[in-house]
Amino acid sequence: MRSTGARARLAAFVAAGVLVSGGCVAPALDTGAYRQNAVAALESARSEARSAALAVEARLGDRLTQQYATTLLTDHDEALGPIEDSFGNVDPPAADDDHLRDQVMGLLGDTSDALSTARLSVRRDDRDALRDDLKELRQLGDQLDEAAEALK
Amino acid sequence: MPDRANDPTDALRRVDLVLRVHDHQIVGPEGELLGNVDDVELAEVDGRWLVTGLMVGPAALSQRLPGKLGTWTHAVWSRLHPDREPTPVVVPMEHVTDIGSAVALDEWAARRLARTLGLELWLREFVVSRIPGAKGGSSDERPGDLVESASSEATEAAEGGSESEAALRPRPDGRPVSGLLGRTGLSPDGERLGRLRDLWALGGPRDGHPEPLRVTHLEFTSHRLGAELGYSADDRQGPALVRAFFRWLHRNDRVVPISALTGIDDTGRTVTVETTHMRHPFDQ
Amino acid sequence: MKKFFAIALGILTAIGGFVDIGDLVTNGLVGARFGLSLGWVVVLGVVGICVFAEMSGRVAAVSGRGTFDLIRERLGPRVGLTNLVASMAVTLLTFTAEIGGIALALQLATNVNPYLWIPVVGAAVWIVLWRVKFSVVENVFGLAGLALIVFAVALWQLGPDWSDLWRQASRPLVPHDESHTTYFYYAVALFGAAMTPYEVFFFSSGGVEEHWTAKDLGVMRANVFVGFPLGGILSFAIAGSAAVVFQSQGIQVDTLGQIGLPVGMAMGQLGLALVLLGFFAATFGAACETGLSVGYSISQYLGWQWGKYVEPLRAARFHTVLLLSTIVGVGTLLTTVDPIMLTEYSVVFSAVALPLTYFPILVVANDRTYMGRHANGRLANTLGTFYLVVVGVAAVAAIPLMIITRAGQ
Repeated sequence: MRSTGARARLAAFVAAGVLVSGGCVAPALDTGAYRQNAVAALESARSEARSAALAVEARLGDRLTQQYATTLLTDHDEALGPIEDSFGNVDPPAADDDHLRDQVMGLLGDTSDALSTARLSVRRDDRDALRDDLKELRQLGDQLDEAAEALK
Repeated sequence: MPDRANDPTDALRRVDLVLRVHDHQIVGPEGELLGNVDDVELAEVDGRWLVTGLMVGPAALSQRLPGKLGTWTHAVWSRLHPDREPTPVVVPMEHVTDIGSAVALDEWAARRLARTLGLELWLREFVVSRIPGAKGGSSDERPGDLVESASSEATEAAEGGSESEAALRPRPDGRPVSGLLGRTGLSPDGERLGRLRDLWALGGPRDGHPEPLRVTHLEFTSHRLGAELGYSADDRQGPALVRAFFRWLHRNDRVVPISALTGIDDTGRTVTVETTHMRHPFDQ
Repeated sequence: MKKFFAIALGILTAIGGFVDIGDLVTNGLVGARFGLSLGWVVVLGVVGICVFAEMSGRVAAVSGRGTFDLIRERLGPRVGLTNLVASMAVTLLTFTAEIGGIALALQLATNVNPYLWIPVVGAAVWIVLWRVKFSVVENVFGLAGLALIVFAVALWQLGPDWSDLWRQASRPLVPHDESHTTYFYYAVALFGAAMTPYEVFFFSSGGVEEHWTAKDLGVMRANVFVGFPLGGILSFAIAGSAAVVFQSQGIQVDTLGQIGLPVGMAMGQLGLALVLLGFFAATFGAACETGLSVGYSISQYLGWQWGKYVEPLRAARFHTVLLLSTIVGVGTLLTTVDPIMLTEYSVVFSAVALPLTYFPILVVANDRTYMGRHANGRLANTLGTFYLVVVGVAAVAAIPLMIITRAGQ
């Protein structure tokens, strides 16, 4: 029986290790780690916004089919939810960090909205709307970039 | 075909049973794939140890699988087998026509062996033949033809059964090689020589003609790691780094002639041998 | 003339068949993050697969034995079984990822949800495995896969700073915002993508399917030594175009659509159509190859009749395995697992499983009883030993790197 006990403990240890390394458990954070999380979320959103801008631009130049562009924008739109969740689910460690949370969540929300709008415009093939969406996505890309750089 | 004439080890026609026969593919005269050599049957005939047959199928394989897996394989096989007390399938050595990278059988044995492939026949009849388009590429055979011929062969086998069934049964005095492998070799003084890793044999089929394959030496090793890789059969087999490692690992290997075998202890899983003619495999 | 045609066809299919979902995803992802600074791994992997495939093809041509036949023979049933289970787990994972890749390619073409495509794709793959002749599968998908050459054209049209790309590739440095562990994690992934074990199961068994003999060694070598490196250039082009378009903007690549985007940007809808054809052919061809590899390997371990060169009814167990693995692949994908993530894991686990197939092939290619004068020469053994070490290091490092980097995050 000893060996089964030891094995069970080993299994538990491995499982815990996997969970922690996989980021499934929200660990207690200090301000530094919280800022790191913010940078990661902003950079991921920047990646989605800029990539979507490339897709919209290519669609406006008729370099992508509507199907291809719609698929791309759907993927980008759907990618933002998990980014918002993983950042939003961690509480700021100190009261000072609340404004950081608001700023980042605000930017992520804007990006999410812009991606959804762009997806609809591509699906409807509304060229005028797409031109606005492109401007918006590029602007957001730069804002996300500045915010991330400022936190580094 | 391998270029046999150029090969120095072939001059002696030495066959290392584990390296050259165990686990090799069995093919029929048409090149059909009929199974692997899951084990080799030996028997002592007129004072000589002869390879008497190739053991094929789950029954033989299960003896060589570890622990529960082996037990389960054997249990499933005997439960699904149509006979009440099934015996392992053994192809008599007289029907082996070549031992190369594959082991070739004659027409007689190939036909009978094909009928013992229960899973293949069952899946052919009940699964694959029911899938639309289940006929072969360019052939004009109707889907049922193969199955019918297979099952009519099976009926024929069942009716005139005793003759062909008995043909692939194990000998009463036979013993599987795997039952000897891994046994500890002991000198008359009780000194350990290592574990039995291979048996050397001479003869065997040549140019399609069956000839007896008789065991000549027993090979013992202190490390069974890499025992089937062939570095103890050919002292020039590359690459050099790998050869050097396995030659170092197997530096204490010993061979003794089969005539030195004085006893097989089935309970203690040991074999006793005289050590007067003991040598390293590469010493002459 | 006929011979020339056969050689040319073989080389072209080798180029087109070289890239699969693992190469597409890994090269696109790595190109966007690391530029061409991991290009040396592609070179290492392509030379490795040449060495490895040539040996297994030679063994298959001279002895008529497929790879798993030899693994069982040299490692015995116990170790051989462990090897079979591990290799088949990786190959099934790759098979599943390829089916997912086909569905993603179809989604890009039609904007229909990939989960609706997956059952259709599974059925189509199975029908090809069941009915279509081996040579047709190899040639059709191999030739269609050549459409991926558009990546090279697109890279050229994007007008990159060639001297900068060359500097990245020839003097590799870890990019300043990436850690060394991530860099080497992706090095292992790229290596695994270039050298997936199934390629060898498929290549050697395919040689048996096509009844190669020692006379065919020249053609086989031409396919390997010309076709594979040219296929490797496609990998470079994919990584290069991703680097040019995405790296400077800090965009991470994590969808198949992004990987094709640079071609659309550079060449418009015609280029895009070719990319989609290439994606489809590469993943469909590789799905057939991986599916067959599962059947080949299990059958060879157990000595069953296998192959598409015999009528299906004469290889009932083999065809049952093909059917079951397709069902498992489709079933896994229908749990809504992300095919791109599956691909990323499959290339890393491929690296882990490599020594299992590589080592026995190296040993048997040296066996003079089978191989006679076609046994490994000094060059093959020098390279073989070098790669034995490389493959061993990659296999040992893969899992720790995966844990440390949280799978490359």
